Amino acid sequence: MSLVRAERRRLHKRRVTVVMLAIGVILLGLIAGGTWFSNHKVSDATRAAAVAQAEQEYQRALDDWNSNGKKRCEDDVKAGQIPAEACQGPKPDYFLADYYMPSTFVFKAGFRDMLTVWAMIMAFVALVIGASSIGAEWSSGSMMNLLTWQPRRVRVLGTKLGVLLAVTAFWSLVVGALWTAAMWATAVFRGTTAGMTSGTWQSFALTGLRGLGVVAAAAVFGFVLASLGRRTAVAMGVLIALIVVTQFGLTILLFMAKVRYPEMFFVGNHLQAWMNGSVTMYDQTSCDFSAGMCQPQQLVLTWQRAGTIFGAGLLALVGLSMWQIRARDVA
Amino acid sequence: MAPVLEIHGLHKTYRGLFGGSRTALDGFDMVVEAGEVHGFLGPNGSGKTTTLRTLLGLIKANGGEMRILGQSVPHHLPGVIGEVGAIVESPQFFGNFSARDTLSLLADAGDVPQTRVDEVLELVGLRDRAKDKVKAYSLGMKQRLAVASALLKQPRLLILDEPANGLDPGGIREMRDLMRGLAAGGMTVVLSSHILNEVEQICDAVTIISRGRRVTAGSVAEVLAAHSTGQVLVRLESPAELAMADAALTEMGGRVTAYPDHLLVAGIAQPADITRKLAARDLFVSELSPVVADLESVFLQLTGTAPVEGQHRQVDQSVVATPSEEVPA
Ligand SMILES: Nc1ncnc2c1ncn2[C@@H]1O[C@H](COP(=O)(O)OP(=O)(O)OP(=O)(O)O)[C@@H](O)[C@H]1O
Ligand SMILES: [Mg+2]
Repeated sequence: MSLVRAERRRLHKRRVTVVMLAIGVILLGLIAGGTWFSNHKVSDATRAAAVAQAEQEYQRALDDWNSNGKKRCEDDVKAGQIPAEACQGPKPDYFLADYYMPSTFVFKAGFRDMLTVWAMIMAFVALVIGASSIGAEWSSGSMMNLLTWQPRRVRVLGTKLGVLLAVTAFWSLVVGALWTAAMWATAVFRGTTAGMTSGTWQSFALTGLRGLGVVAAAAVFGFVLASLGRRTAVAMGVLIALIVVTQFGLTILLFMAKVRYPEMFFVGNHLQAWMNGSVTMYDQTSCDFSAGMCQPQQLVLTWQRAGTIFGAGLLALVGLSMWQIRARDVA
Repeated sequence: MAPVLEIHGLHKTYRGLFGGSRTALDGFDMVVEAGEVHGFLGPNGSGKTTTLRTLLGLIKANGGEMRILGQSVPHHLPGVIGEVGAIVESPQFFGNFSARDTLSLLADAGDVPQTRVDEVLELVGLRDRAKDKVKAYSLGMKQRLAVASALLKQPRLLILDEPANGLDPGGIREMRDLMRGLAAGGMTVVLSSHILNEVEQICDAVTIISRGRRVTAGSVAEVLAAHSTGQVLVRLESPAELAMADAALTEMGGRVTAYPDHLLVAGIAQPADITRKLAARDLFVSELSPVVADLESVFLQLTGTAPVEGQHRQVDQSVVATPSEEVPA
C-alpha cells in the first residue's frame, strides 16, 4: 500500500511529530528523575534507625504527656468540657517505624499509577500530533494536492487515521517500554521489586493496554476535530472550549439542576474508571442528615461502561468526519 | 479518436454554509482533442478554476457531463487520475518540507517510481534547490514545483491553471518550450492563462469562457478568422486624395472608416477590386493590407471586457452567452 507508506513517511517528517514525542519523553524523564531522587533503598540499618526514631518520638510524647498534658486534660474533664475517655495519652502505635522510613519505590504498589502517568502524557502527545497532522494538511493546501492524486477521499482520510493510530501506538509502546525499564530500575535501586508475580504483570499489562486505548482515543479525537474544522487551531479551540464548559459551566449547571450524580458528566471520572477499573460516586442528596449519620446511595461507574461511552462517541465523530469529507467541496 | 476531455452543460453553484450562493458555471461546454495544447481563456471569475476543480473531483457539479479519456467523471475518476497531472490555481505545499520530500511523498501516494522525482526537478530547473524548504521559495519557484508535481506521473492529460503565474521571462519561455515538447511527445495540455500572446504562440485550440458559459471555441486560426473584421487598410500616395477614395469605395459597397492618413475598408471581398477601382480614378495605392485580428482583441471583443475610457470595469462585467443548444448524443 503506497498510500500507507506515504503517510507514514509524512508523519515522521513532520516537525510537530518529532517535537511532541521529544516533549513526551522529556516530561516522563523528569518524572522518572524525580521518582528516582525522592525514593531510597531500605536497608536493615535504615529500618533500625526508623525503629529507634519511632521509639524516641514516642518517649518524648509520653514525657510531655506525663509532665503537663495529662493534668490539663484531667482538669478539663473535671470541668465537664470533654468526656473522661479522652485522657488516654500517646499510644505506641501512633509511632510506627514505617512513619519514619524514607519513602521507597515499591514496584508492585506504585507502578499502576505510573502507567496512568505514561498514558496521560502520551495521550497529550498523540492528541497534538493527531490534530496537527491533518489540520496542517488542510490549511497548507497539501490535502487538496493529495486529493488530485487520490480522489477516493474516504480512503485517504481513513489511511491517514489508520497510520496515525499505528504510529502513535508504536511510539507509545516504545516509550512505555523505556518507562517500565526506568521504573523497574528505580525499584531495584531505590525501592523493591518484591512480590511481583506473573499475575501482577498480567494486571499491569492490562492497565498498559487500557492506557494505550486512551492514547489512541486522544489521537482520534484530535484528528477528527481538526479534520472537521480543517484546521489545527479549530481542534485546539474546540478542546479548550470543551474543558472550560465541562469544568466550570457544567459544574454550576449540574449543581443548580440538583442532578443526583453530577460526577457522571465529567470526562475525568470516566477516564479514571477506564484506567482503574471503576469509580464509585455518591448521591449526597439521598442523605437525610436530620436522622443522624447516613450512608449515601452510590453508583459504580465501571471501565466497561466508560469504554463504551468513549468508543461510541469517537465512532460517531469518525463517522461524521468521513461523511463530511465525502460531501464537502474542497475549495 | 475520442476527445481527451469533454464537458457538456456543466453547472456549478457554490453555496455558503449559511446561505448565499454564486453560480460559477452555467451550462459550460468544452472539448479538448488528443495531442493538442488547448488554451482555456476567460476574464477573472469567469469559472476556469471552478471547471478544473470540478473535473478533478475537488468540488461537486450540480449538473452536466464530463469525460476524461473517454471515462465519465467523477464516477470513474479513480481509474483515470493516474493519467491526469494537474495544478489548480497555484497549489500550496506544506512549507516545512523540501521540494524533494514533497514530490517524493506524492510519488509514493500515486505509485510513481522515486527516480521520477529527480527527473522532474531537473526538468523545471529546481535541481540545485531541491533540498530547500518550500516556504523559503520565491513565487516562481513554487510555481515550478507545482508544474513538477503535475509532470511527476507522466500524464496523458496535463491540466495547468495559470502555470506562468510568477514566472520570470526566461521561465515563461522555458515553460513554452516545455509544453511544445510535451505536446510533440503526444501529451494533451489544457492551459488556462491570461497571457494571450503566450497562448497564441503555443496553443492549437482555445475555449473562451465568460460568466460560466462558453463564448467561443475552436482552433486558434479559426477563432481569429471568424472574429477578424475582414477589414483592409488602405493608404494612398497623397493623403489629400483620401476623401475621393472614400467616396469611390463607398460607391462600390464598402464600409469605410476614415482616418487622417488611412482608410479602413470592410465588406469588399477581393482587395484587388479596391486597387482596380481606385486606379480607374487615378488614385494610387501605396499600402493595401488586411487587418489581422490578434487573440487579445478577439478575447476583449468576445468577452466584452475591453477597457472603456473613464470607466472602471468590475469583475463579472462581461458578456453572457446564450445557453448552448442541446448537444447531439
Ligand atoms: N470557494 C468558493 N466559494 C464561493 N464562490 C466561489 C468559490 N470559488 C470561486 N467562487 C466564485 O466562482 C466564480 C468563478 O471563480 P473561478 O475561480 O472559477 O474563476 P477563474 O475563471 O478561475 O478566475 P481567475 O482568472 O481570477 O482565476 C467567481 O465568481 C468566484 O467568486
Ligand atoms: Mg482561476
